[in-house]
Amino acid sequence: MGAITIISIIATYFASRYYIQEPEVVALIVLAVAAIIFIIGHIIVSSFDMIASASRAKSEFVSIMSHQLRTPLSIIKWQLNLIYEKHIGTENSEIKKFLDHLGEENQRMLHIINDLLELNRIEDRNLYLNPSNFSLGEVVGDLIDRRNKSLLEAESNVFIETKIPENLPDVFADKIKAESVASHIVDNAIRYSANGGKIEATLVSSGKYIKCSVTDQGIGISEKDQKMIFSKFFRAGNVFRYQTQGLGIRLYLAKAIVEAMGGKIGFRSEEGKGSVFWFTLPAAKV
Amino acid sequence: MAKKILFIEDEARLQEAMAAKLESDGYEVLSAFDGETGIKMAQEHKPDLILLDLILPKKDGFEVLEELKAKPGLPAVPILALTNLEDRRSIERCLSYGVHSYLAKANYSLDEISQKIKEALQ
Repeated sequence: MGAITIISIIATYFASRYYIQEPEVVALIVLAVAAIIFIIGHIIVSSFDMIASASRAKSEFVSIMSHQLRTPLSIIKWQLNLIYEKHIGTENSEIKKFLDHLGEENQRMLHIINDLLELNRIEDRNLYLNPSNFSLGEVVGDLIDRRNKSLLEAESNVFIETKIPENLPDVFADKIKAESVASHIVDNAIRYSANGGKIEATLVSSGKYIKCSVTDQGIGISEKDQKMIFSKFFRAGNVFRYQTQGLGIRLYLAKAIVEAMGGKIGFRSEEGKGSVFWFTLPAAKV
Repeated sequence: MAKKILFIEDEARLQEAMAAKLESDGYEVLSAFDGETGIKMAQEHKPDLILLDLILPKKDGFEVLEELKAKPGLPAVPILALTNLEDRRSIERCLSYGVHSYLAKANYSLDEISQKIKEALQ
């Protein structure tokens, strides 16, 4: 930039010699303007540098903290595994109930940390995907069987129905990540069906893509909140009134993961009537 | 004869829990608490399988992989990376050394890890 400024001043000086009586004055004016532009440019560049380094520092802080927290949480998890295996077995005692709670809370902390780490990886473009051909029908079917079992045990009045065609083609995607997206959408449908109602999971093929839709009759999303639903750390107003848990990043993660796998994600919703969340994944090449 | 498993991990309590689980599953467990000792023990004891953490004192997991893959006889030993690093760069770097699997410690129970070991030894 400095070299360009000097060349421009010299060029202006020689050009103005032919047309103006005092080319030195013109060159000085150009020099002054160039200096002002140079200073403004420098301020802008260093501001961007500061923003970038603050963002890097934040990202590194989240990464270090999360890794530091995952080690003690792994220790708690493994030690609990041993207590169950060596001392508790299948007995149904009060201590087992308390240990179950410890295990569940440990898992909850791990989920929060895993989500924060996933967010960091997405923002740092450092997300690992291991795609393969698999049956999304089986993944969603198994997931819903597990959820229906838990709902039944909890004596909930929510039940999930599935419509999965038998000859549904495989998808080509990361199986673990696809399962995490499906489970998040299904879990949201359960969470926001607090007053009961039917949930339906449907899978269809459109040739190039397989689409999974989850329809609920829950609280729905207000028109105002619909625009923000895939934003980071966003919690819908009608949700936050009675449900304070959660970081509000899982739909953001779901969108980023589905798009990274070559699919799309979307929803339709009406407040008080329910929502349909759907995502597509590319069909496996035959 | 019991299969030998070398666990290279600097956290004593993770070592302790893993050893208790694997010994009760019938394996002999060797513990190394840093990368340098891990490489030495791998050469001396010729384990049937290695569980390797990546963030380690003295020599990190990547250096351990690089050295183990260069030693005669050792490249055939299955290595399971057992770490809390899950970023693309670390996973791809590990896979480029031919590790058998890449497991995030926090996401696997001892039973699930034991199952992965069984699969790797088959």
